[in-house]
Amino acid sequence: MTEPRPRPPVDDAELLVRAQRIAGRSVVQVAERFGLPVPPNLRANKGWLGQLVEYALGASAASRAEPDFPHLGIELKTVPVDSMARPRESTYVCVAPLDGGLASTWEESWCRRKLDRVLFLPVVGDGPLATRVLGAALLWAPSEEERGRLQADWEEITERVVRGDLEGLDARVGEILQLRPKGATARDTTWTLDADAQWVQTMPRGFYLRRAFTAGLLQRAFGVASMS
Amino acid sequence: MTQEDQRRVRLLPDSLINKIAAGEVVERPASVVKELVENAVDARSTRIVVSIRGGGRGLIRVRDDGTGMGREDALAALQRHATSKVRTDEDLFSIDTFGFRGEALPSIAEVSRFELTTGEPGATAGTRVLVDGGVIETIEEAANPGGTEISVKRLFANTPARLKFLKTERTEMNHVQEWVTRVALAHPEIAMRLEADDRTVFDLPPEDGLMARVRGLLGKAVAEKLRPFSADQGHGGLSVEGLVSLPTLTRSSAAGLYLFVNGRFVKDRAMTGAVLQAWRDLLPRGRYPVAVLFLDLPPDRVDVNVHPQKLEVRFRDGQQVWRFLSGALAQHLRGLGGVLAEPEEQTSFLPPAARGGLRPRVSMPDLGTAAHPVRPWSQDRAAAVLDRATLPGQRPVRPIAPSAPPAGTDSLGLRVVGMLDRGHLVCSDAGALVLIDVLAARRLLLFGRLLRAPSAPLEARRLLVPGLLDLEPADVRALEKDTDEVLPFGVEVSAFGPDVVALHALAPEFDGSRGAELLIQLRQALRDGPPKGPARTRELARVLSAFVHPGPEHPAPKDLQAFVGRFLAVAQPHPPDLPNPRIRVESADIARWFRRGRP
Repeated sequence: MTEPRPRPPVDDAELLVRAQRIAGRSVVQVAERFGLPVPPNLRANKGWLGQLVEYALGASAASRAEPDFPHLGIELKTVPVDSMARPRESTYVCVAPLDGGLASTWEESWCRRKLDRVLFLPVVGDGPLATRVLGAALLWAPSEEERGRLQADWEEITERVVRGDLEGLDARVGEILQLRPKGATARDTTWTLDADAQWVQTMPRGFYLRRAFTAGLLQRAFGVASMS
Repeated sequence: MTQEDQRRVRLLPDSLINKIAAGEVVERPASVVKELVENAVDARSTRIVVSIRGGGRGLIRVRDDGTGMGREDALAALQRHATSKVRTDEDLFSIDTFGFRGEALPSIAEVSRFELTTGEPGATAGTRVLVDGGVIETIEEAANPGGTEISVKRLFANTPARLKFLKTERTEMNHVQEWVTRVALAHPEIAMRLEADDRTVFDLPPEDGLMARVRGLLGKAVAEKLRPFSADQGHGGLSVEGLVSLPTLTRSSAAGLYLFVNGRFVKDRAMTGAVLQAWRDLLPRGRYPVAVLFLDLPPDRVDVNVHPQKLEVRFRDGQQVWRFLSGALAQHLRGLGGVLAEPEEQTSFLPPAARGGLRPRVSMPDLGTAAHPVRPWSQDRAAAVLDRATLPGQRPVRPIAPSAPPAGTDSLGLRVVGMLDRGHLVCSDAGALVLIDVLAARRLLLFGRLLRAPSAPLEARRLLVPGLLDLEPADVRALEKDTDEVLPFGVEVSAFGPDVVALHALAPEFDGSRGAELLIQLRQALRDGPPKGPARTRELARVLSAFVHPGPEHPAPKDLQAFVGRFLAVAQPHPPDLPNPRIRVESADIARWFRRGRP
């Protein structure tokens, strides 16, 4: 029997219990529980996995500027990993508004709001989508030191965007936060002001957490064995 | 006025100082490097060595063999707006040197511990000036360095606000490298060396041309895909030359575009736009060409005094420059039509002869070694080991890596010779051959540890994927009662709904990927094992130790030797209820195998 869509969790504890209930289950098991069809692959259904987990946990926010659980201030991030908890890719945080909507301070930024508290949900395996398994959830909030590093990266990237220096701004900039192209296809474009204050079209970009950073968080939480 | 007189350092008149826009010169270590290296180029150096420590926070040192300065000039150079490069208002609009503001040295000396040692060619002695936070501490005679050497330490120590804005050492070093790269590209004739924390980043000899410099600096693979390009406007005074990439070489950012105006690296939006315009229909959106381009125009047609770091320039007629550059590049690219139509690396099903005798670029791996690579230890030793250990038709023993400690020192005489595969160690012990089954040995170690668990619990860590086991509700309730008992063994289990048991956390000594299997065996041991006491502990240890983690795939040699040491410490006597992890073959038996002593 399929279960109805859960209502938003009332507190952290309820959210974590829900995350625990899907941990260890395959993607197809979770989808079946809620009567959802599993697409053959993610190529044409990018974001489906994240939507499945949001559905199962009762996420409510539809706004790109708010965390997925706005009343708890928690953002949900599914992270594809291998069996050693190593992320396969960098983790998308939020879109970088290149059209003049960039916040003037870190405190006001979407990035800061999205990263205040994050529920990382590893998805283990790289075989067919249905066989991938949901891992144990990790509720993370940046330490003071991590917050400082995030802010420094955000400020460096934002400063370059504001200067119109998008060509010189690639994924190498930023220690833990980086700017990467974010578009479904190469035809997707957005408008930005170049250094001469001329409107130009450019690739949409998003803020991402570097893979090494997320890997560190997951390694500390789950660890790996050594010869000794 | 002689040329030497023209180069002497003078204080600028106030009227000219006001014409120079105010601004910060020293933003980060890379800006210091930029200023000092450009000064070295202006001093007609033939070799420049840049040494960096700690991304520039620890030390920046630039050494050149240029013209150097006498005592008077060395002191004057440390005063703001003292320069040898500009004298009048008109000079400001016909600049052909890198530096001209007279701001760099005093600005750097203001925010660091700054040491300048310099000497004029042929002079018997040089001058050393030490400045700390803008205050001159020492002026003394020194050995003539045959040029100039400037060391900058404790950068921004007296401006903590600025220090806070610096990024990581790696990021700052990247900025430094970017700048030295730019200067090196602009001056192939100058030998350039960049050192970072005792590591040589690059050491480039003087070159005759740009292509050779690019090959040394950006790599052979990049150089092979660059083509020479030049264009001359004729009457307009504009000319451009350099190297531009084939469409098969692209980048995801404009970082591969090195654009120079009158020899000065610039980040000019209009110039970048002109280059990209020419490539517009040849590259997918979001991809950028690689190019090293030098645009030359009369100095009075470009204003380089726009930006304190002179990264931006202002053309008197920007539109004209844009049209010239994009037009000339587009024409050049059209001329490459044949190349563009034919992708460089095409696949073909035709045999080599039918493709004009081109030999396919396919290299077959040496199957004999690729499957079981032999890592060198020391050549002699590896050869000796292989000679002894490999029989025809057998896999060779893989010698352990060179950093292995002197064998046998910490493992009671047993020394690790190599590893056959992930599963078996080859050891020697007083002439005898000892084979150790790694998994069985690890199990033995874990077994010993688990026996002590009731008094010294193992620490469990969360599992990435919890192990789940569907059971009858009665079994779930039964197992739930025993969850506290297995906690000291580093196993955290709980009921998870009426008919599911979950394994949430496990000591790292176990193989977490076998969680469900472990739960089955554990449930059986708890249900059917001895009721209590040491016998129950031993049974649980026996069952759980079967789930020992197999260890890393590529263990370090020192870890192997330590592992064998720990194994030997617990291996005697061997518990009868566990598999034997060790096989020993005496040298006499080995000799018998080879029928030694028979005629």
